[in-house]
Amino acid sequence: MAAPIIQTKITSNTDLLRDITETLREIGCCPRCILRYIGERKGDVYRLTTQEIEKMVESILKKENVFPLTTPCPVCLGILQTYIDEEFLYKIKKAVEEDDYEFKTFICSLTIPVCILVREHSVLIHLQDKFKDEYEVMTLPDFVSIKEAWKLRCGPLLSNLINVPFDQKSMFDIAVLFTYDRSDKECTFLSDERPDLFVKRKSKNFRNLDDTFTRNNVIKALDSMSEDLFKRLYKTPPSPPKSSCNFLDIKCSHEPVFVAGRYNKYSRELSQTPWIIEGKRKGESSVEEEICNLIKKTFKYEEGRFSASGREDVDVRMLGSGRPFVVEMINPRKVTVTEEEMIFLQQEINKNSTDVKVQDLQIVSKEETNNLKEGEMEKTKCYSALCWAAEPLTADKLLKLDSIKDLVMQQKTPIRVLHRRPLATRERTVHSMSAKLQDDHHFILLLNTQAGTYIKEFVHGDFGRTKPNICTLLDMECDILTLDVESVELEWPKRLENNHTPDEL
Amino acid sequence: METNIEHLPNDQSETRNGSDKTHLSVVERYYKPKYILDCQANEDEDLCILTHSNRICIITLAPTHPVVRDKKTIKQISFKVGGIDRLNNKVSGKGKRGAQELNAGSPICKIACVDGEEFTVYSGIKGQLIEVNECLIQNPELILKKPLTEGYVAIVLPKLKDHEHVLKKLKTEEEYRQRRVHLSDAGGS
Repeated sequence: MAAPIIQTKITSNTDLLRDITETLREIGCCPRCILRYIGERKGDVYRLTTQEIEKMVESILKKENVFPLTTPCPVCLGILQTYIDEEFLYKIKKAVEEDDYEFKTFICSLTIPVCILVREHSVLIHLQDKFKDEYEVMTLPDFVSIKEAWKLRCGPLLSNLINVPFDQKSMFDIAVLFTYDRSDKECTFLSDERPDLFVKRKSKNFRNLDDTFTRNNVIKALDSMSEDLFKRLYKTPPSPPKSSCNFLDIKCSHEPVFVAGRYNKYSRELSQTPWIIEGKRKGESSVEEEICNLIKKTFKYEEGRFSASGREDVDVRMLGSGRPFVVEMINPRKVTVTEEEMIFLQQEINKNSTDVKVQDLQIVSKEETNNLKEGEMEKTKCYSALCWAAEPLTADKLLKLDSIKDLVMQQKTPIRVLHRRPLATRERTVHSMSAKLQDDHHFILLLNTQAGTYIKEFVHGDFGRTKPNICTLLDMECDILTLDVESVELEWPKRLENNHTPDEL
Repeated sequence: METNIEHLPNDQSETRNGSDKTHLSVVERYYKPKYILDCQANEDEDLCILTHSNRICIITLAPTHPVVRDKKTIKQISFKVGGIDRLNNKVSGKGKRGAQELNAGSPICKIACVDGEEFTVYSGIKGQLIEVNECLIQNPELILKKPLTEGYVAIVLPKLKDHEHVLKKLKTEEEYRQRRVHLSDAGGS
């Protein structure tokens, strides 16, 4: 084994380098942490085995049998010692396999105890005290970090173990979590000194209740603290830890994947999303559930976020070529499907639901999903409404409506949504209308309107709060009995061939 | 949406001439009518409060209110009452900030009749004033012709904590009909 040529270190003076290395060894640093602090920046070096690195440091020290250490490193708390061997990597491999994700590349992330930041800071101050010329201008980011050192060694090894390439832009992340029992205790001097920086965040993140100390606020507190004060409140060099930090968990996760399509709804009793009032569920199902239940079975995601280009009321049908929707799948286990599998999934959804049919089901990119909401307010919508009139009608009377073009009306926030929306008078345009007489008292009203128009209120007037309305236009009391959305004019997601429109099914 | 099965008596569902009417009106579908009898101890000045499942309450004159019952000719309806101009009511945001706070005894408007009689319409319930029906200023006769729809007086939103209590104090349709026996007499005509 040829020891790599020593270079890119903090000094080219080998005696001085030995003194520095000796100082780091005295405080108990592990060989990888020693390399980091003497300014080794070459990735290849960190890829070497522990034994090779030990030999290398021993050669700098001009000593033998210094390593292996029997005590945990006071800086990395064992992350670059015990948690870097093959045995630990097998543990990760096992955990990843058990989680059963589909992935073609991976990235790895480490969560390390926050107190390591304090310990690193302490070592640097110690070095600056003893070797002013070499370390005065150095800051922690100038050295290879613990995470980098770990990944340089473990990344390729893990890649071999799980037989998947490492990719910085991978959507699949293997997160390795370490904790240290005394981490918060070691940081308390910071919050005692700068309570302003450690205000408990309210409401946000109830999941992590013990998040008083974060990377950000600890770094901020350390940066703002004078060296003298730090030395008084903490120790330089850091004291040897009683134990290594603990390996807590391995958490795999995949970036969201999006499935889009169009849905039709043929029920007047099905809401778009689950309808829950004061904790009590209303309605048996919803469009969202009819669609997502089977998508979830296929992609095995943790949470699905359904959104659509607008919505229709529970008692309104969605006809024509359907309403575009997208499901953001959080942490999916399966991420690719063949065209056949997708068609099969679509057929399954349509077979399983009598009230909801989907078409153009496909995977879309995150960027593409922006199209869904962009068109929402500008596009026009077509509706068909069955209306009732109090007085006998004739086709002639209804002709009046057909001639009206681009009618601008003043619409006050409908009473039925007033409890949760601000009160405002909005101008909305009915581009065109046509009415077909059904019998003396009934007609079908076809409407083409600006998005955001409340159709029911346009017909019955909502206590005179939408003006003009069909009652004022026909000069008689009118009411809306049923409403259908005939089209949502949005050309997204792309139409697929071999796709039967739901009406044909 | 809550469908209200408590029908209004026939003579109350105004302008229902279509003999083939087979569906419930907007008011019947979405609102439960509740009543206040002799509001603020003024004899016969009954209010009908249309209550929506979303907590919104619409203050209207009941058919037995003297103005509606006697088909008074109205000279003027004014929202300047008790030293407050209800037209100045401005609400903003979902929370309806800035709404005038009403109690059961807060006056909303004054109805001046041609015969010299004057009536004050009170809120009848505790809540926030969302809007008054400004159309009544130009067309006071709406309150006679369509008291339960276009002729409404005001929209009031009781606070969430008060809502249940507010509703409990109101009379139901049944109680109202029992107490106003003459109504059921007139019902058949």
